[in-house]
Amino acid sequence: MALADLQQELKGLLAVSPTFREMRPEVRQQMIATLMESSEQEIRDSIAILREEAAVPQPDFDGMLADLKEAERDLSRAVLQDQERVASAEENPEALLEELDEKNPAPEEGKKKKFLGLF
Amino acid sequence: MKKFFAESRLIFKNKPSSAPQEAPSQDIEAGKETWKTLEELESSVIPVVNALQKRFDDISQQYKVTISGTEFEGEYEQSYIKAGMPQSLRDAIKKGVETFNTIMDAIDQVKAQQEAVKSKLSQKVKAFNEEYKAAVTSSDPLDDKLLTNYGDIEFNPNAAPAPEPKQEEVTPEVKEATTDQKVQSSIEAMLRQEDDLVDAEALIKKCGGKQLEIKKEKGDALYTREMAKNNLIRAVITPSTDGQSVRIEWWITGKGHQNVEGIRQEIVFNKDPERKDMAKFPASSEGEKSQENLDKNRDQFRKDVEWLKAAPVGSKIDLGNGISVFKDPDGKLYMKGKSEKDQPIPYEEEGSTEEGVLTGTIVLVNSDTKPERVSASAAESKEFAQKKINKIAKDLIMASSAPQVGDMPKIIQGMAEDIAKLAKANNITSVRMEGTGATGQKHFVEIGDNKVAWGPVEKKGDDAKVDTGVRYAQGEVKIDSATA
Repeated sequence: MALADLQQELKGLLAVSPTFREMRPEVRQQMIATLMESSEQEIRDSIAILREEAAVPQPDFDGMLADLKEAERDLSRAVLQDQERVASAEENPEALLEELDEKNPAPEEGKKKKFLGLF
Repeated sequence: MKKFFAESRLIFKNKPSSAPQEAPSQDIEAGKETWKTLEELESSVIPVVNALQKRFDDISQQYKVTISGTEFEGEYEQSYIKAGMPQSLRDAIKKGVETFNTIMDAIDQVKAQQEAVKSKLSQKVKAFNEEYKAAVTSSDPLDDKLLTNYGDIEFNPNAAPAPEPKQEEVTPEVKEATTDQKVQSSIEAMLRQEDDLVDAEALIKKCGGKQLEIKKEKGDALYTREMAKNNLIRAVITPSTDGQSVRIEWWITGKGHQNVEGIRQEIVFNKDPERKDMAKFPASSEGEKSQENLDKNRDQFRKDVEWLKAAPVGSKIDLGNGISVFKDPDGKLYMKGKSEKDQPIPYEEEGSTEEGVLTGTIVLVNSDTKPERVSASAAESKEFAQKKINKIAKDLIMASSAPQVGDMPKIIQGMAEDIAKLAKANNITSVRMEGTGATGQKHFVEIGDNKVAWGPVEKKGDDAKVDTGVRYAQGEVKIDSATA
């Protein structure tokens, strides 16, 4: 492959390289200029590195972001429910105690001990 | 709770600069279709993270606990239970922490990959030295972090300096024909070599560093034969670094104008310190010397032209670069460029055109031109004339073998008369030329017996007409009556 073709391929890979796209424009430009000026062998090596990079797929950031949003919605809902629960408890403390007892029933053995203690 | 971001591995503390991005190339745009940059992720993730943090703040206040954005199990979870936080809320916090960590892990992975790529490529960017690093460091702390973040690139201060970014060829911007009167009159004065009329200031200010195309219409004061042909002249106006002088290189250009292609003139004008805006022509000692040479060369050339008029046909004045003025077998002078394909154009002395405009000498001769006379020998002269006759004869054969319609007979007659004139002027008395005509039949043009004759070769005209139905011309003109 002619040097010009190699440079063209390098240019194409650099253009889509995630690494290079993260750089500030002037840093990127300088590095690209430097790489383009390098020797044929260096250009071939650079192409290999960039091809390897291009072959690795990007993580599913969209999916992750959706999960994060869902988590935030769940948390908001949970906070609201908890606030409602607390408000309700302030108005009717016995109902709150019953609710807590239903969700966290005391062990039978503990109950017995309690009663035993009473008597 | 404010420590949520601090303790997180949020990468956005190293976010790319918010400096305006360069206009992306098409390739870069194509890449964006498949890959999100961290900056793009940032814009999507941060609002969600901020919302999470607000919820964590609310919960923290409600239950008087410290909530971690990145850890859940163990010490933190126990503190939530102890505070009486219901299971549903704890589950929601856990999910928020997990999903946040998942996306951060993925970002860390991407960063690691990019670091690896940079590390490998760093071998290839040895010239990326400290000097450059210093040059790009800005006062923006985010930018500094970014640069540090990308610090694995090998900055070798001993390495060869980074090559200058490829500079575009210094081709002056082409400016279309200007309508600025000062510029136009200055260029005109430059062409006419008129003192005190070149406004150096106007040239520097209005067209410094630009290629200026000046288009003129026939009859305009700046009209020249050359400009009539391609209707433009081009000049490069270059101001000096101190802005006190201006160099003008000018030439006539355009398609079909190869005859004067490459003929350039260059003049330096200094701003006149007294008059401020006008310049003498030219004022510097170098300019004076150049002007002296220019005058000398042009004077010589004018003498050469007079010599050429009396010289044998085929003689020429060689002006260098393949450009010459020659004497044609018709006795007139023509200018010719370096290419054989160039059509010669009539040479005219300055002031000799109807409009009284610049031609000839000023166009052809500058301060570096050394005109050289080349006299044709008698044999060369005859050969030169013969070539010209051959060329006309070829055209005549084609014309005489074509259908004789319209003005064709008159045109053929004119060609034959031209041949007769050339033969007489160059003392050519006997030549026969044959060629294939438009129908494939052989035709001839013959000089002899004091006449130029033409017609089909093998058959008498009338017979041929009867046999084949082919229409053709035949005839003759007298040489004696031809006048060059």
